[in-house]
Amino acid sequence: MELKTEVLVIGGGVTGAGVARDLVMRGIDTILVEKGDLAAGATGRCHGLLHSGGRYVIKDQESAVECIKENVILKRIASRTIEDTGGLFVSLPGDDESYADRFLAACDAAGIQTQVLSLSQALRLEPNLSREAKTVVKVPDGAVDPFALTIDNARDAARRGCRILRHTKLVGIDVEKGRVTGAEVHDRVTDERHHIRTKRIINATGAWAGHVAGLAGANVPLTLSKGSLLIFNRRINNTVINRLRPPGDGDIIVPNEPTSIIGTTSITVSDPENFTVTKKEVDLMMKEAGLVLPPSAEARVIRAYAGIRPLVAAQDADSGRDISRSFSILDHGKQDGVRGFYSIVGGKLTTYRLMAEKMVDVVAEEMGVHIPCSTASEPLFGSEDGEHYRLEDRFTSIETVEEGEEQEGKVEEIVCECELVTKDEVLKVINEMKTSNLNDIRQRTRVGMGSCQGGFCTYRLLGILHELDMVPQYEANEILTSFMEERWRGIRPVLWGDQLREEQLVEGIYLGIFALDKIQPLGKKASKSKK
Amino acid sequence: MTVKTDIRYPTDQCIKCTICVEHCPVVKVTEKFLGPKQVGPDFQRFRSEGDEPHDASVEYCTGCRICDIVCPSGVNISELNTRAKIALRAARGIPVRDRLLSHAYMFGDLASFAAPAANAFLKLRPFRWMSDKILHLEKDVKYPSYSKQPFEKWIRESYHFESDKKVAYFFGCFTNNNDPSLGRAVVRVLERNGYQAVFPKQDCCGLPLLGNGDVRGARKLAKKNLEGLLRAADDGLDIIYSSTSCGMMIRDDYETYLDLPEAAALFDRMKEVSEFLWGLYEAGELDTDFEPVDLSIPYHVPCHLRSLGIGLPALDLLGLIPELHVEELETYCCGLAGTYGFKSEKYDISLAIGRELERELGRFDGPYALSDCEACRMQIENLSSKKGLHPIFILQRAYGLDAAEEEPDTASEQR
Repeated sequence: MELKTEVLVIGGGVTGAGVARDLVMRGIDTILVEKGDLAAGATGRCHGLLHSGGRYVIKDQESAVECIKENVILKRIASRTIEDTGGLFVSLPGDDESYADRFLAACDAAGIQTQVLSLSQALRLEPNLSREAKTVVKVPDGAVDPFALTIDNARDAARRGCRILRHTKLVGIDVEKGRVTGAEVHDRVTDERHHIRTKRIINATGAWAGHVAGLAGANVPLTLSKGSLLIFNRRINNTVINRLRPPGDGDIIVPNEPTSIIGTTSITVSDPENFTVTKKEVDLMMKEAGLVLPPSAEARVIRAYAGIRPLVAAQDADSGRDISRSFSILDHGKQDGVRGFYSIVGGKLTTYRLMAEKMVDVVAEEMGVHIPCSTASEPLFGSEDGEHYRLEDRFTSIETVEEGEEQEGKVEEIVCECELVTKDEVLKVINEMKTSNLNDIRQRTRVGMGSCQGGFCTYRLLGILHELDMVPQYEANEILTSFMEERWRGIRPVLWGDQLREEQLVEGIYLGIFALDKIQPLGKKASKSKK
Repeated sequence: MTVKTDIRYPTDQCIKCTICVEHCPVVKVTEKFLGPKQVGPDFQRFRSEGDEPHDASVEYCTGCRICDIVCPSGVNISELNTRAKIALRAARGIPVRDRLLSHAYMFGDLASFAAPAANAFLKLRPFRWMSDKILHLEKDVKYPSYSKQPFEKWIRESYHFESDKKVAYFFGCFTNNNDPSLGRAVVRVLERNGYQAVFPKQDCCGLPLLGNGDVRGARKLAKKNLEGLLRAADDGLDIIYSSTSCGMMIRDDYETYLDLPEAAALFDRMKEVSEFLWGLYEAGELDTDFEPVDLSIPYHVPCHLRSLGIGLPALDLLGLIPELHVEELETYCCGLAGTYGFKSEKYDISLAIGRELERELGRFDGPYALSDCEACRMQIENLSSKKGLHPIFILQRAYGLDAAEEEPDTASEQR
């Protein structure tokens, strides 16, 4: 199939989706291509922290100012995806106390509102906080759902005419006489190849940016830095907890949906796809969490995961922490003689909108489009009412109680009991996305992301897909196995205590009762999985 | 949303095995209840203590506590659900009907005073209609009938036995107002074994109030009861009870739900009446001079007896009586669950849960069925033509002590 567009965006993370939305809002015809699902790279593997800027305020004032401005904007335009938790910066015995004064002064200079709390005030807000806490400063941090933020951007863009091709991999870029003329993509679901005619490609592929640039004969100097995180089974904190000291490993704990997430580490790696969370990292994070929230030492951890930060390489930086978290826009026409090819790399989830704005400014200017950016004032589809997300709202999806004499509760059928996902919600995603991919469904509903990590809902999901006749012949076992394998991959680093008992039970069911590891494939596997 | 500071936290210990759901009597018969796991450990991840549960389905929990017994991970599921109920009531208020039902003991004092009138009134069609339409009280259920002579009055006028061996007796409001013959049977059996019953100052144990979410009211009663009970414990007396639910409430719930840590001192002193008597038997001190009782009787184990974790002492005791055949029924919750079965929106569920018991009772020809809990006995009479008896009556008969006793009081009025 031959497609044609003014601008082709590669990468369906929050940056790519944000760029696509900004482009169509300025009337520019756009296609977005993503090799897997939206938010599958660094976007979906982060803390979900909406920075106030406090973390960078001493080392990198510029980043801090960007953060606080975007923080205010996103709380308004993407309200549905943000929980306005607030955050605390906490110093413990042994921390340099002069840092607190410098921190407060720097926050004032950057425009970050602070409030110094007494220990008793802090404990009221955060009952699990260490009684040893010395200085506690409240800042406007928040929690943001990176999946929802990306999906809302993509959906908003699609409603404005952007074409979004998921599970579609870029395999080639055509460059003629120093100018981009098109791209070759491969649809991994239908196994078809498409050619897209375009004069402009924006490379928003994060950790893969170097690889994609290589297809155009261009170069993006990247440092890949792995950040590992742990997910607690429940909320052990109400606000974002940061350490009031120079940024280090395992010093941020973010409440996220019904869980808390602690991270991260910063370890330079070479491959964006193959990495693991090490025992050393797990131990370090558990230790750090225990210092600031002592009860967390006892709390159940359900999963470990890691994301790859694409950092724009700076000269003679030996560790990922010292490289600027600010972003870079590369015009490869000026840099490598490939006109129409642009890369946007670095940055943070919190500044995705600003990155998109700056990127599209460059492209629009080159195209002679003079419509200004309006993403800072135009709410995303679904966030028009400015209402922030609240965890307890999840109950309302389960049952509607008629306010009448008889409390007739209509109760929805629940597919995933840990995360309160109803059959209706699952069906909605399946019908909207026309997808039978369990991971697509998981990203949009949180099915399988709770305490049992898919143990009790995966086969129910498969049952629903089967009812809908969406399970291709001979593939049920493969779908089940690959989804469970991915769940188990995240549990392996945290096999102790209650989660170990959980895993033994789930393995007993799938390997003992279902004998899933002994099943031989019945027929020919579909040919689409051929490499 | 705030976080509980207690980190050994049920939601972490629950591994979703679903055994509690499998055993839940309510889940078996209705979709209105999401089940103990869902409304307990699962929902707990989305709320914290004191938060309004946002979940009305927890209202359909009968409070039988079977979930606690079967949980292999030691999760205090029923506690989570009871707390959720309390929070729900705190947020939405307690309906007048539930206040009436749970204050039956106050109502009971009055009703005993005017028993014949009260019984007639409860049977009157206009009352039935009114209570059904206005209060949503189920009109087809049998209400407990009120006795003309409360147990307390009988104690004052007719109980004169004295002995060096003493036990304190918490008889509870149902025995006092509706079933004084049970109290009389208990003290006669004790007397036969040389024990004098003393009666600490007491009121309703408070369970109906707690079950309907009125923590403050329950606490008020508990504090009143504790005064006398703690004194009895201090004097080194065992405290016996003939109602399993009262015993559970005092022994376990005062401390758990009512913020009364001093109640912990009662734990080792509280003895269910058959448990106490079986203890005498094991010590070689029980009078075992029983006359044969030629009966074949079904015995229904109350859920709250199970949750007390003291075995089935009544069954052990009755096993000592010649010619008597007692069959333990393979039943779980009877469905009445205190005040639950009297609520019109729950009546059908209550009956559906009781079907199993109804079927089992149908296998027996005799006029009696045994159970240690007054609510179970009421349900037995709702579901069958049998009369519900506390096991102690059989013991009373085997001792030949029931000659002086007219027919035992009926748990509920006859239609």
